[in-house]
Amino acid sequence: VAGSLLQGRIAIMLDGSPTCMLVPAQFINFLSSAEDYYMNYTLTFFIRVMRHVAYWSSILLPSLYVALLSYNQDLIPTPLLVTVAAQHRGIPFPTIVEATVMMLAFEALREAGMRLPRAVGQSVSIVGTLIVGDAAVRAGLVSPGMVIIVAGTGVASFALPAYGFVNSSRIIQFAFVCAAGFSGLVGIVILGLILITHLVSLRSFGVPYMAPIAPFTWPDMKDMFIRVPWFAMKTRPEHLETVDRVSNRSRAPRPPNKSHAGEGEP
Amino acid sequence: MRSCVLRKVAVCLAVSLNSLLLPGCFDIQEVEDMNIVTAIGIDQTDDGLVRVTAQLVNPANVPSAGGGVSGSSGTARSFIIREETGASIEEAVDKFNLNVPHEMYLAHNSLILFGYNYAKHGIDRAFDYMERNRYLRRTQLLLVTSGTANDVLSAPTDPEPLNALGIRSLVEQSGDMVRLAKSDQMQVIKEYLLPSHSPVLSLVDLDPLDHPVMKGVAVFRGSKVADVLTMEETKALGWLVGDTRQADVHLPCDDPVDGVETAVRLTAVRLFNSHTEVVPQLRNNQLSFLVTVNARAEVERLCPHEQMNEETYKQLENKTAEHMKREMQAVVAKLQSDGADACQFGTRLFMKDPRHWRQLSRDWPKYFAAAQVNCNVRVQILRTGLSTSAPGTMASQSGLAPQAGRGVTGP
Repeated sequence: VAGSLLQGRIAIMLDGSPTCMLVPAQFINFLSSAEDYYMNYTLTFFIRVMRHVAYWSSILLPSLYVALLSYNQDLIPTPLLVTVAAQHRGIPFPTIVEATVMMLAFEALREAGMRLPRAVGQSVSIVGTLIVGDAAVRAGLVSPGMVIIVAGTGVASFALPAYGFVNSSRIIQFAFVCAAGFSGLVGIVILGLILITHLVSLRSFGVPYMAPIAPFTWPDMKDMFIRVPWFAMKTRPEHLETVDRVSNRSRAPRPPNKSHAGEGEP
Repeated sequence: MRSCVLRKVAVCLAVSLNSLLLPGCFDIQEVEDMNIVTAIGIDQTDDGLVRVTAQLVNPANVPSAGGGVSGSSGTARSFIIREETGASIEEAVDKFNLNVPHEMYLAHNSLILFGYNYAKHGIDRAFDYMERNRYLRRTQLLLVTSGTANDVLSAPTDPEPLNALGIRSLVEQSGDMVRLAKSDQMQVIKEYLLPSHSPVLSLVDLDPLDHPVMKGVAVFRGSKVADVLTMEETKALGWLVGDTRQADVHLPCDDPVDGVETAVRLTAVRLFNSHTEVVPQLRNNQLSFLVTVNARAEVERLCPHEQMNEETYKQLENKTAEHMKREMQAVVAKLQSDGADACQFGTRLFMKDPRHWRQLSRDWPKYFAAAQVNCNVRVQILRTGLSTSAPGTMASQSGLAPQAGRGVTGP
């Protein structure tokens, strides 16, 4: 919260609410967490990049799998295609049905885990996924590859810090799977274009939602995919249009006996 | 007014949605409903028909299929061989869809293997199909076998369960050495279209134990096979055409030492890389080509009891160069007698002097056969491997310290 305030955002704290709202809300806020600013920038770089990858794979992974398997088999390397074809032998459903059913089952388990008491809830989601997935594979209803993909999507969505943000990606992934099932990679590309157009046109309190990327400002990329070291983080984000461009303009502390020379005691 | 606009928007939306959704699912194809074709063999039967052999993946027996799904009955192979005969390749391939359950899927085809009989009658009949078909990729290898394609495609390639991928890696391994040996469709068609008009295809044959092995290359005159080169000759052809990497040269020892008759009397040198430049020259109507090869090498093996010093070093360089030169001359002579310009001298002449080439091009085989080829080889040996001299020279009955290398004699 303090970091966001120093960036030039507004924090809204309400009596009775356990959370604090920060406006304007932007895409990158949901992919960065408070720990990023406490750690060394080299560690943050890796984790940030991983979150970006995790977010997009939580949306796209199942749909890409469906599209590759039902339309664009020529894009899979030959040995992989042979393996996948061997896994798929004797499975009664088309890939799209398989994907939708598995994803619905996974979402249901996740929701169930959320409502149950903590001790039970954890085990329901993990054990349930493992057991149901394994049983479905053994029964020959879904292919092992599909279980891996759906589980991977789930893990990717758990890796993101903001819960409310993940909820949207959970719904969007269904739309993408349908597009992939209807028209393959072309469908994914078209839906992706629609999604990006929508994201770019959003505004939050007058600030563009995809701010450092969509109206592209190079100085602000320092806090987007990477977090640059502190010596390079002098200025506030430009897209927030702050009154004072330089962040935290207090002077360096000095020993107290020289305080009469400058700031400090009145 | 407003409702009119709304209706227009609704119509636009409906049209765009339908145009997106209605053609959807049209070419959907599940992986379990298709036969993945990994290799195609093309043979000519005695009555002039084309017999196409397709190698299909047998998903029930792919060893990598985990999860307890694989049937694991050790006898069955991981691929299926089916044959069809027709007047042309297209007709035969079409017949597969009538006679084999599941659609044929050609996008993963990695080999096209021509039987010798078909290659003798011209492979250009297949080029049109391969270039036109939208599934076949230009990265697929075009190979020739001296028997029938069917035999090679059904042979086991042991560590690799899929025959086609095994043969492919065989060919690619020798392609690392001489680029020419990896004859993918792109390269073959290019060589076919170049002025020299002489494609080179790798030759894969069965050894006595029924394993496919790389035997060399087949040289084509136009689209018909003209001659077959062994692997050694392929290396020499590689030095004539362009750069090579990691090629071995084996030289006989001059004077065998008495008492070691059983030992292999060969010196081996491994060329790291070689670079070739060909300059066509025309002096008073006599066409000649100056081939300059620069190579860098490492000693792989010395003759027994040979001491390495500056002199032997020089000798070895010269001997290697001489040997390469002899091999290259022999290959040129062979190609000249075949009339197949696989060493691309015609292309070099065309690149240097197109006008002159156009005068010669009509009777190029005649000029090529009469052309004089001068080879100029320089080999530079960079290092000797981990030891300088042969181990035999280090042995000393009386327990003296071994002699120092590089021509310096110890006390």
